[in-house]
Amino acid sequence: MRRLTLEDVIGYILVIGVATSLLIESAGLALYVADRGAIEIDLSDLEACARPRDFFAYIIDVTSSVLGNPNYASVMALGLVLLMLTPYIRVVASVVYFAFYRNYKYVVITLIVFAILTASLIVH
Amino acid sequence: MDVVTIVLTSAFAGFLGSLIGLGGGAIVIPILSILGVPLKQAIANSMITLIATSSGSASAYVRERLTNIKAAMYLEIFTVIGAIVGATITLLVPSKYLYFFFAAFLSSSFYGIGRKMLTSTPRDGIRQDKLSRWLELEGAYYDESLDKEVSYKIARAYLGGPAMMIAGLAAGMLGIGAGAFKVAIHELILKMPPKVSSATSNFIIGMTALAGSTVFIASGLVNVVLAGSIAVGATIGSLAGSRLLPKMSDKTIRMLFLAVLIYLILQMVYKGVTSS
Repeated sequence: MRRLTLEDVIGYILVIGVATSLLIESAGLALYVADRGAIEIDLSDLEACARPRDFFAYIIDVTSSVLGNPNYASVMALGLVLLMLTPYIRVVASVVYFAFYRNYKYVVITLIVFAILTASLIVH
Repeated sequence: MDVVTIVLTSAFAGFLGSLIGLGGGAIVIPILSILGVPLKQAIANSMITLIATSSGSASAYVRERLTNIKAAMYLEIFTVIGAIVGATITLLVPSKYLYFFFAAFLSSSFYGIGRKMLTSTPRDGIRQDKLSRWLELEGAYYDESLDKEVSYKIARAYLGGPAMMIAGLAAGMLGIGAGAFKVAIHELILKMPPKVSSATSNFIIGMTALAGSTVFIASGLVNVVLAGSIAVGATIGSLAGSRLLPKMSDKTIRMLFLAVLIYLILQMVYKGVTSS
């Protein structure tokens, strides 16, 4: 069997991440229509507007809310969280891959991208 | 404005976008603003969905080895910073100016047309500078139309990085991928072959979209129902578009591209002039 390369791993991460998040978002949309009894989008609906200061704390909030008491807002938020995590995980996978092949130059370069993204997800 | 309208509109935008090679964001944002979504909200909610619309083709290109991952990682340092700064600027400036920025930036997409006339094989004899060589910016891919392996070298990384920061800035400000602008930098400055340039730009768009989204989601502009509806619609639309693409003639695509682009530019200028 052919060796699994960075290209394969990244390709799968992108497809699986996006497909899962879109499935969850579709389920969330169905819940929204069932819950509201209407298809109107209320742009001033505060429940639908996340305002996370710390994205990682938000992930935990959203996940526990979906597991405990799922409603349209938490399910759709989970879908979006997964969507945002997809490229983020792609960077983590690249760091691991370059470290495995001891290409330290690229470990540093990918870590810089990782650090900037992480900072921007936490600090506001 | 309701869920069905947003899903269908985004599907149409995604479909058209993937047919004419203009990112879904550039089409869906003006349409959302015509439907009455405030511009900043349209920008913030459509930026997240770019991760979804760009990832399908990004995944395919990566597995076909068309994407230069090392070049992408290096350039992402710059686009990610640019996108975060750009999204922050958007939160601060009045919407009126953003309409004009949008119209002006859409004009960079005209590069997409001129580009078709360029050669499709990499030029030989590219001399790499020290930084590009140190970054190991080279690669090879199998070219189906030529039926052979094409190897290439990338040059002028020292200029390409800062230029990509400007691309990231514009993307973050306007909630779009800025694909045409990125492709122009890849080809004109970095000397990437066209196929590698499209694939690598597509790959970077997902990361730029994430960077801008980190700012928008914390600002409270992202409405999960609106963003979810756009994401579901736009992704289905762009998948359908990529199926139809091989069946359309280049001339039809080019005419459609021009018509859509000019219409969107005029719409945004009109919105900018009439907004208070």
